[in-house]
Amino acid sequence: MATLHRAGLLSSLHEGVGQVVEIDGKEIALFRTGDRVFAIGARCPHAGGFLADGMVCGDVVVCPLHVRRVHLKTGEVEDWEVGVKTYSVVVREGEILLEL
Amino acid sequence: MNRRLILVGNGMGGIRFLERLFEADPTWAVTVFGDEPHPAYDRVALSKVLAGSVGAETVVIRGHDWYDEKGIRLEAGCPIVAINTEERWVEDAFGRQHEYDSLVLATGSLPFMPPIPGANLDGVLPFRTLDEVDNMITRAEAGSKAVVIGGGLLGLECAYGLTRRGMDVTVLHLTEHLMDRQLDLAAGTLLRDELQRMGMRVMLPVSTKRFEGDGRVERVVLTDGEVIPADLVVICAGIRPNISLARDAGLSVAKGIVVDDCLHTSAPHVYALGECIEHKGLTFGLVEPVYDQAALLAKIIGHQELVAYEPKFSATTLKVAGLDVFAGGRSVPEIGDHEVVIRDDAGFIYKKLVLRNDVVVGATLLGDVRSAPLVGAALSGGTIVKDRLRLLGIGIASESNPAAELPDLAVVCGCNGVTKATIMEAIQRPEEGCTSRACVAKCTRASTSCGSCANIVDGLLAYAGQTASTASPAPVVCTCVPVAREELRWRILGEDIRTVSQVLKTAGDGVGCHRCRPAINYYLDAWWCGDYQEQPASRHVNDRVHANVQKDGTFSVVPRMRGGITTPDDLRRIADVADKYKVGMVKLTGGQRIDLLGVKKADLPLMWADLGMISGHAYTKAIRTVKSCVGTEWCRFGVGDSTSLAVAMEEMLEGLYCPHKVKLGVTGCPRNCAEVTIKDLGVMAIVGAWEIYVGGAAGMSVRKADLLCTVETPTQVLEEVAIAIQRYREEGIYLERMYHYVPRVGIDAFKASTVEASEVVRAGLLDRFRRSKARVSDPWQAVPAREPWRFEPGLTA
Repeated sequence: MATLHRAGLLSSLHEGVGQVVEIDGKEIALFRTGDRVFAIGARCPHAGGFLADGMVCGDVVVCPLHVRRVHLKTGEVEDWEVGVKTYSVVVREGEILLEL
Repeated sequence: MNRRLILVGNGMGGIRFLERLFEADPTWAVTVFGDEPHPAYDRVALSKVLAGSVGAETVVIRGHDWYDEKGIRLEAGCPIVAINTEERWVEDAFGRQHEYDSLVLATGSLPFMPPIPGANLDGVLPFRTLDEVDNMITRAEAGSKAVVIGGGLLGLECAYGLTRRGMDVTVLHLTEHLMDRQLDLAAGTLLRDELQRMGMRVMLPVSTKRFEGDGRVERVVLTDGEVIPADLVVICAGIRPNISLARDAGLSVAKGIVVDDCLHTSAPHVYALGECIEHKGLTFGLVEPVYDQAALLAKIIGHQELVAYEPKFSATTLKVAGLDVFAGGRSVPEIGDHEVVIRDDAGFIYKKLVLRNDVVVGATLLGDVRSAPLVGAALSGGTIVKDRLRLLGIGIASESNPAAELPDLAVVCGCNGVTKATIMEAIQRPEEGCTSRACVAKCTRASTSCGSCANIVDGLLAYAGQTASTASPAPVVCTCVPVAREELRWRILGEDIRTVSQVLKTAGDGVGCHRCRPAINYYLDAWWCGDYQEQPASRHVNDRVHANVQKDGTFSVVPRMRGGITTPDDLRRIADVADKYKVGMVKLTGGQRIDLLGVKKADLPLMWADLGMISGHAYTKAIRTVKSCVGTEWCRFGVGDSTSLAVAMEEMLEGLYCPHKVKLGVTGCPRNCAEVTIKDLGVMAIVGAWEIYVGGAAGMSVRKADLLCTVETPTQVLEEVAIAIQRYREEGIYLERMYHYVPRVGIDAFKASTVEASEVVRAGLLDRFRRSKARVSDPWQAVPAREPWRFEPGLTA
């Protein structure tokens, strides 16, 4: 059954600049765009780049290594057969909680 | 049967309407009635006919053949005297009735003739028609005396024309200063001085009592009793909408024929446009709004479109050679406005902006109207303007081409509603693009009426010539920001935009992409000389954390080592740091420095602090290194002190961002150990002098650099290098290496814009270079201190 895990304070996640957290041995990249927080697998399936270091353009993060475009909502990677995992996010009293 | 349209009035508005109507729907059966016995001609150009700068034959807009070709029946010299709106017919002066399905009234305006006794004397006439101009030219004998009543726009153009014809001209004006509808007192006074310097006499404030003469006018008597001899009197006291026909037909009239937003009059199937109408209490006297109305009405009638007329801003220009006046909007501030004024009485320059909440609501330019297109765009655009002095042309190099800075949609030719984009399209057509003003005039009609935009058209031709070597029309910054780089520059500077997100919001799709956002960031940096707001979300991770991301997500660190020269102390510290942070590899780079690879993001600030060295900017589009040889210091062949110069050059340039990375070198003799002829910028010592090379490459492509210049001293080298780099920083396209930029513009053009440029241009480049440099700080110290979160692993718990 899915449980909620504390990922950290929303205030320490900056608009458009991703951050990596480790929960239960899993590396997860977090992004804040506008009033939404997204959580996806931390590494690009293409060559393992840290997606949290990518540039966020709308609903897409662009991998810093080879500019693969990864969709934050769906985990889909453009022009690549494998996507990344997405996680549900809850923000409660200023804290980001991830459903794992 | 084709629908029948009758147009009453064959003036500029009427003919424009017909042109547009036939573009939309050529099936109309049209009859045009005009009072004057000519095909449509350009009334605005009459001033130039009077002044003799163009012949009367050039003012014809459309000759008889055009009417024939379109199947339009032209009844020139045939006034309409009555309209029956119920039975839908008009009656002409010969008593003939003509039926219509739609009727358009474009009856224009009539000169206002003040009720002055003696106005019926021979030699007293208004200035409105081609025949009147003919009449004036016939009477304008050199040495004879003319009096012009009215010192408004038309009056002054008339006075100028008559002066050019050799007449001795006096202008009588009713109020305190000339062109009082458009100008403030200061500008009006300055204009008067200038006109008098040109040989006209201006009297104000004066009022005319009567005209005297025996059948023919001989003198003008003023209310104060003064008598002015006159062989010719021209009355230029304003215009009044010509509404008598409409009024007699029972249409609703006030100052003009009242129309709604669809230019529909109070009678069914009857429309009106131009100087005869009144729309929401306003009447019109300039050609620009009339043309707008004509185009709109063609849509309404031709396409049955529901579009509404909204008056746009229009500016006034005075067509007097050597006396440039541009005026639009408020000439004096209202409560809550503020004004910016630049004034040089002796130099006949007066520039003024009236602003409300940083939006330009009025502008006056006298003498120097080069910024008129930009000011006009600001006035009509309603955009916020922070850099007001720049808008007035202060701080812009005098050689710069204001036409190039115009936004694409700026209207260059107000008379004919031609935008910069349209003109550029004509110039840059793949086949037989326009190469002359005359060709542009023929293809787009720009500059064919009042001609005040001719210099802008020339500017655009020059601008296109400059950019022609790219063989493509000004490319847009990105599909997310679909404006040309020049336009973006204008908007960023003109609207005081300092962040990437503001640019995206005002000129783009609001989001941008990983390509354009770093580009815009760079342009903001370069064009504002560093005085902009960086947004880490719009920067590549390298630029966020000031280190180079590697394939495993770690980073590499390259401290600056000017000229490739280091010390035992620095090397010891580098070795200690490499141990402490367990760097994966220590590598010498091609640019003569040391690369520490495999560093974790969180360790970067700690490592930098331990190193005590500044950033080498190896991770970004910026000045990289100045490679050197040991020159005269050690080498037995050296002829120049390459190490000292390399260090000085690197110190001068380091920290500056550029369109792409810039690799440099200084070598002490032509053996060229520092390989300067394959650098973006290289310097080579020869006996007694230094050669500066630009545009070399040895990367993805190989290119031998071009010689930019040869100078004698290291100080001169530094100045030329600063100027060349600044030129590239300002004009290079983001991600365009210097070795692409230089061949794109051509080495001769590059020389002309740097080493051979005028002192003013060079001083401007140097000034902007120094201002940019003054804003540089070492990111390895500044960024961790300011935003430590950029380097932190994970979130705060």
